[in-house]
Amino acid sequence: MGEKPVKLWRRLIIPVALLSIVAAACGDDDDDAPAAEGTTTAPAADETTTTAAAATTTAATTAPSADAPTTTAAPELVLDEPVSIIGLYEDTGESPAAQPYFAAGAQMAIDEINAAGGIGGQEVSYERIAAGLAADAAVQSTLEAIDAAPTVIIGLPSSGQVIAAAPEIAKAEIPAILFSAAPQAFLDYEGEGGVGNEWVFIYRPRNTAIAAQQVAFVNDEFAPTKVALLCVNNPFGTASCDVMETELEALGIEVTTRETNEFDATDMTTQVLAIQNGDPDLILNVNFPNPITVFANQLIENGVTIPHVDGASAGFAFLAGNLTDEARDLLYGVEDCLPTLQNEEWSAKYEDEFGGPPNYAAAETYDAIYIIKAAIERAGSTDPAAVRDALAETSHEGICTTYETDEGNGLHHSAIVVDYEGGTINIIKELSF
Amino acid sequence: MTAALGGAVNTIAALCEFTGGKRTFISLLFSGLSIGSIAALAALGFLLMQKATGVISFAQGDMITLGAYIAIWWMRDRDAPWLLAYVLTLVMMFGIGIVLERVAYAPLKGRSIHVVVIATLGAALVIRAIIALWQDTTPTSLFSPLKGRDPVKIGGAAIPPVKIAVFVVTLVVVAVMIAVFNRTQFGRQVRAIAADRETARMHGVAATKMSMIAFGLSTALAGLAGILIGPTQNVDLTLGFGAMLAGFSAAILGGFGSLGGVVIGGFMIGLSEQIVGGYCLSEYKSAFPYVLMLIVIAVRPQGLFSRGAAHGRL
Repeated sequence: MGEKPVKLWRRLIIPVALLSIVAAACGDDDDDAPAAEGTTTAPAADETTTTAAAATTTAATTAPSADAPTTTAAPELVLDEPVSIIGLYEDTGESPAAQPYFAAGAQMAIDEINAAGGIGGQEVSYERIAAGLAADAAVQSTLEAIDAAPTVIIGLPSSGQVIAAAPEIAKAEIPAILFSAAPQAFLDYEGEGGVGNEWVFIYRPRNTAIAAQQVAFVNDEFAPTKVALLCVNNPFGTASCDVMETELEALGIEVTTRETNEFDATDMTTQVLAIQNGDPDLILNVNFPNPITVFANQLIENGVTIPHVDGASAGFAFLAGNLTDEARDLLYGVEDCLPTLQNEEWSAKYEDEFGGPPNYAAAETYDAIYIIKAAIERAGSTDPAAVRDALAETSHEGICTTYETDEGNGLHHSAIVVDYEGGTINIIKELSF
Repeated sequence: MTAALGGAVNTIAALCEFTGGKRTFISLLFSGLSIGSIAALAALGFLLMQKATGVISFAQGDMITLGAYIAIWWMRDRDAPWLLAYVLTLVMMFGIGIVLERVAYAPLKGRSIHVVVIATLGAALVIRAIIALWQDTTPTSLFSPLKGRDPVKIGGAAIPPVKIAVFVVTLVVVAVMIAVFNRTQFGRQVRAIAADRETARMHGVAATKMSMIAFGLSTALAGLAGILIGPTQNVDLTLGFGAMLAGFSAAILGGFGSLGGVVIGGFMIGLSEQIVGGYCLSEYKSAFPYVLMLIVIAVRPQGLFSRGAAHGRL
């Protein structure tokens, strides 16, 4: 005797439920305020990531006013043609890695600009397309954006997205400010697989430049004679550690161990023991938040109490709250922008609007919109080539830093070293490159 | 023969670096046992569900994640004491398993096994989306009373109490499961269903009820794995994925045949990664368990501890 026949409604209930969820998730929510409740998300991809402010922070720098983004040129301008910007990034809930900050930062700037009369008298039309992290999804979203022929495209926070989509942007000849700092996306990249082109500008600091600065920092701060390297096993980790190793050797500092781990490593016993056997003075770590947490805690468990200087993911490790106090106090991180420390006034304004503190993504996306505004005003039109050429001349004081276009179409040339001693984020040193 | 052995020894010597002495070995051993414990719990969940329903649920990884998040919710948002939070989490996970059985398995009875497996994948994605909307995607942490405690010194090696607890709890759970399946009516009925579902039904075994309980128990096991693994790392949406893969590999190593087999499979997964990977080609250590699994599939497709078609055993 077989099973009872399955009723039609029972067969349909799952597809209907799934379709309902998909339909709900696919709704146009560009106008929704993001659910930013003092939270940040896991990194979108393999490049550096930075964090929102912790509950308690310690200001250590001055910053520009919240209401006064400054640029080098802002002539009186009357545009005849519309201005449109398309943002390629996800918002909360659209994928496990999605975060609200890109959309929120852009929306905040757009609202301010339109409230002040737009650009050249034209209200700025802004649309966000949820670009998935997978390369093919990113290309699809980019092509959708290109079809809409915007004045400028911004977005794509992951290396994989940028590497896949940059050639399409070049073909379409639309200026773009992209968020990943993948070395291959810079115009002056000399290795294989470069996708940098004159239409693509990168607004985050170069990972390799940060790596060199990390070495300079530890040399100045700790004067080590022996350093261990821990590198996540992907292009970001490998390229950064290659730079670190070269810089360390140039300074006459011995590299005792160079260990690797997978980005999803959940146990770092092997790496901790290998590093411990090398007896270094400190550790330079290029990694992701979870391996940083596990590694930092396991160092303490094994009696290794030396400083370890990590990258931007250290902030995520700190905010996750899983570090023991001793591990936390030996941890250093590098951030490209900490708006809650570097621009309290702007951060308060953001928090009023979105209900939670901003992170680097909100500040830098906000900056990107104003960089575009300034470029259009300098160009005197929305002609793509003119806007591109104007972007190449950018000098813009943003929320955390001044953006200056370099020969590789990189815009951002600063970072800050922080520590988390006592459970607060403290700025230790500002880095410029 | 001697030359071949000599060659093998030379190859191992070239690829491996046996440094660190006893301390290193003991550290790696306990790491392997801890990882193996989580794999064993996940594998038990796979085995239990597979025996009772014939289904392999790929929602198991996200159930592990969900278990950790529910425990966090009880403690952080509901201010529950940690022990009560753990117990309530397991109870809730049992209930969620029953609901999963009703919505993702029962309506599909009689369909191709492939359809049901894909439905469990769909359920996994739904669970993940629900967690993201409910708890956000920000990495967070799960409290454990053992977290941050001074490590236990064993043979010069510093072993975190959390790792020891994971191992001990797993041993207790395995012992209880063995007792349940060998000495209770429920265990005998599940074994009867595993042997021949239709015959068992004709003999009065309530297959639907068994199916619901199996889903519930399997999901509670996943929740326990989440509670155990959560304090050792950041809790995010991917927490259970690696554990699910390890558990699936453990079940394949064990052959989906016996409870003891998949538990041993779990420990083989953990130890091959940590001990073999700790000494040899450590940059590739995460691949070792899966290389081992592929080797077993090639030379003994039914698994190391399965007696071919002995489906009735647990």
